[in-house]
Parts: sequence; structure tokens; C-alpha cells
Amino acid sequence: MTTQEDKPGNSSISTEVEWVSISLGREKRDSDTRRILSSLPLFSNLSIRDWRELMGLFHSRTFLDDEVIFRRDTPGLGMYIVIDGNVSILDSEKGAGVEIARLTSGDFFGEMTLIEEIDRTATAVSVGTTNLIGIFRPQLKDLMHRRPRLGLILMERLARIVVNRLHEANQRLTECREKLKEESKH
Amino acid sequence: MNQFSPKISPIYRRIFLLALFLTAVVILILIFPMIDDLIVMLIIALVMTYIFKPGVVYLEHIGVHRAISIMCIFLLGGVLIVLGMMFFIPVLIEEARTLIENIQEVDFAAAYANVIGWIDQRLPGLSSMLGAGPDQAEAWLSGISKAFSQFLGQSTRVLASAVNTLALLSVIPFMVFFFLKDGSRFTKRLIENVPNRYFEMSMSLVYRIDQQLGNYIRSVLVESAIIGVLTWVALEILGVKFAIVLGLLNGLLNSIPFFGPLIAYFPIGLVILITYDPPALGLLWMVIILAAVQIIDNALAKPLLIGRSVDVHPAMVLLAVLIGGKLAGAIGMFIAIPAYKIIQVIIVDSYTHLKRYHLI
Repeated sequence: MTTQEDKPGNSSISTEVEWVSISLGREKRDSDTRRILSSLPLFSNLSIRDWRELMGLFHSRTFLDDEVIFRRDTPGLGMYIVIDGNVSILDSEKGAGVEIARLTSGDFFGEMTLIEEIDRTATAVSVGTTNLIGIFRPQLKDLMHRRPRLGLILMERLARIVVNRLHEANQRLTECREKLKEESKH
Repeated sequence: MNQFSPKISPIYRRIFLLALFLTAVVILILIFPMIDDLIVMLIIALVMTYIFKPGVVYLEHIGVHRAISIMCIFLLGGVLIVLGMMFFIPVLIEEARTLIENIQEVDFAAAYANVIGWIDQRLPGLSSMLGAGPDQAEAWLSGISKAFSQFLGQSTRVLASAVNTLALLSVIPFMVFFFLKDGSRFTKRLIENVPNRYFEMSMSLVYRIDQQLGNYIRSVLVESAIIGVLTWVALEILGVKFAIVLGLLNGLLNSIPFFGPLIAYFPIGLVILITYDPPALGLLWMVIILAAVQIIDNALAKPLLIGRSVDVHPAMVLLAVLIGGKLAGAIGMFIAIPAYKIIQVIIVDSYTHLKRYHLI
């Protein structure tokens, strides 16, 4: 008898516990996301108002193991930030390409397509269940029209990141050339 | 490879897509009479959103909060509408009333008989061969009058149910406010539910459609306003009566590509024939004015307005306008091309996006 009366109460308590844990889980995930994002050079030292504006731009996506995030030679729309999990960057199609890089929490990729409408130069595939935050060109453009100050800050930082990556790529290219020269001498 | 997508021959896939599209069109036509007022209201709200959006973005750009920006634009829009109703609408109603009275005074049956008589003198027997003899005038005129009143009645019914006082005062502004305030959030929520495979494509598609429709609606509105004002000023200078009504008519009809301007020339010509003295000189001026307006529109306005081009075959325009007219009368004719544009952009862009993202 008592068990029958207790059952609904128990179920409501368990539902509440479940809900609290989900809510705490979401809060923790949100704070993790915020911590990771604010540690990135692109989003560091922004005001609360700027953050509120930016949160409207972010798209949270979950990819299962071995799922394609984007394919090489498809139109690029924006960049992704790895919140947790891993992303494998391949030089061509999934299954046929060579892994160029393995990205983990806090890394980001596809930032060039935030500036210009260009095709993807590599394929990105998730390794294990991966949570990503995406920020995309149409919304960034919209933000630049509505909040030009914040838009300018983001674009300036983005330009700096791209310049640094270009500089690194140039250095690597020079090193490779020198290596090739030395090898040809031998 | 995806195990849930068995290989289907491209021809069968195309047939399937075509059948799907035709089914959707048939369902739309069948359910349209039930929800026509809702669709008209939604389209009006969407058009108003696209018109207000640049103003809201501008105010946000100079640092005004979004909600306050929307309120400012609403206030400005409200003031303009009230001023328009106070000064413009009474003049327009008076001109339209006098015009209708003048048209009613004209004996169309006698004019018809004169024209047929003139043709019979030069080509005897032609009119009776075509079944358009002088005795047919009454039947023809009553037929035209019946079709016209039926057509106007249908428009009035749709318009009356859609733009009734309650809708004007509450639903449409509420919808516009919602679209302006939370439109981007709503779009974001919508895109978030799309599977990962189609996510980027869907986002690109939604923004492209939004951009194209916005450009199209604003361009059509600006162009119609330019044409309307130019026609009104030119006819006013020449001393043609009912210049405001004719200017408005020419501006409105210009939103229908190819045929709209041609349809507008008939009432303008008719008014000049009835009221201008001498009518021949009036018609000559009309040709010069309308040609000048079209040249100014094509040479100055169109190049400045992006997104004006409809990229549609004149036959499709005619078909869309006829279907729109059949479904919702005169209102349907004006909504037909924007509706066609919406469907065209969705279908064409969906196809190109699916191809670009290697999904088909």
C-alpha cells in the first residue's frame, strides 16, 4: 500500500534530481565553453555586453565518432572551436586522406572562411564524440553592421591570427626549401 | 557510405522530385482558400519586416538598443501612416470617386458601336465574322463588368479578412515586432535542429534567401515609389486630372514585371481620353511621359537597386500573375511575383547548395 503511494513521490524526486543534474551539467558545460572561448585570442578580454552579443552568434554542435564536420572543396562558411573531443584534419576525402593535424580542446579551425567566401582546403572529421562551437560568416557580417565596434575588434584579431598562421606557413616553407637544397647538394 | 541511401537512378530521382514539387503545389492550391487570409497577413508582415530592417540595423549601428530601435522605427512608421491617412488618403479617395463618376458617364456601348462601325466601313463583315457585331456591345460589356466585379469582390474578401482592423492594430505589428526582435534567434533555433550533414548548407541557404528576398522587396518598393512619384509629378505638371491615382497605379503595377507597366497604360490612356482636351495631344504627352519614366527607371534607378531582377521568363510571370489573380484577386496578382520569387530562390538555391556541398 505504502509503496503505491510512495511511487509517485519517488518518481518526482528522481525527476527533480535528474533535472538538477541536467541543469548542473548544462551550467558546467556552459562555463567550460565560456572558459575555453575566453582563453582564445579571438574572444579574450571582452565586456559582458559583447559576450552577450557573441553568445547569440555561437552554434553548439555535437558530432559523433568519425562524423564529417566539413569536406574539402565545399564552400567554407565559418570556423569551429573544439570544446571537448578531438578533430582530425585530413588533406582529402575521409578514408583516403592523410591526417595533417589532430586538434583538441581549445583549438580552432576554418578561420579563413570567416573573412572570405573560399572553399574548404581540407576535410575535418570528429574523433570520438566531439563538441564544437561554430561561428559563421553571415552572422559575423550581420554583427559588423549592427555592432561595428565589436565587429572591428573581432576582424582585427582574426586578421592577426591569419597573418600569424601565414607567417608560420612561410617559415615552414623556407625550412623545407633549405632542406631540399641541402639534400640536393648531398 | 551511408547504408540508408540506396543508389537511385538520377532520372527516377528527378521524376520523384518533380512529383513531390507538383504535389506540394496542388496541396498549396487546395489549402490556400482555407488559409489565404493568414498567408496574406504573413506576407504583409514579412514585407514590412524587410522594409523596417535597415532602419533598425542603422539605429543599432549608432548604439541604440535593439528593442528601442524597433520601437523608434514603429513610431516613425506609425507617424508616417497617420500623416498619410490625414493628407493623402482623403485626396486619393476624392480623386478615385470623381474618376469613377466620370467613367460611369461615358457611354461605352456607343463608343464600342462607333469603333465597330469604323472597322466595318473598312473591312466589311469582319466584326460579324468574329461575333463582335454592334449588337454584341451590351453582352460584352456586361460580361466584362461581371468578371471585373467578381475579381474585385474576391480581392476585397481576401483583403477584408486579412487586413481587418484587428489585424492592422494587433496581429501584423506584433508579427513584425517579433520578426525584427527575435527573427535571428528564431532562425538560429531552426538551423540548430538540422542534422550535422546538412547544417552548413542550411545556414548558407537561409541567409542567402533572406538576403535575396530583402534586396528584392526593398528594390521593388523603392522603384515603385520612384515611378509613382515621377508619373504623378509629370501628369500634375501637364494638368492631367487624377494624377495622384494614376501615379499610384503606375507605381503599384510596376511591381509586376513585363506586364504591370503595360496594364497601367490602359487606365492612364482612358483617363486622358475622357478628361484631357485635346485627347490626341494628351495621348502624345502620355507616351512621352511614360517613355521618359521608363528610361529614367532603367537608366538611373535599376542599376542602383540590387536584387531587382526577377530572372524569370515572361510566360512564367504571366502564369504566376494569373494563378495569383485566380486565388486571391488583385491582391493575389501583386503577391504572385514576390511569392514566385520566394519559391524560385528556395528551389534554385537549395539545388545549387546541395550540389556545391556534394550532397547530390
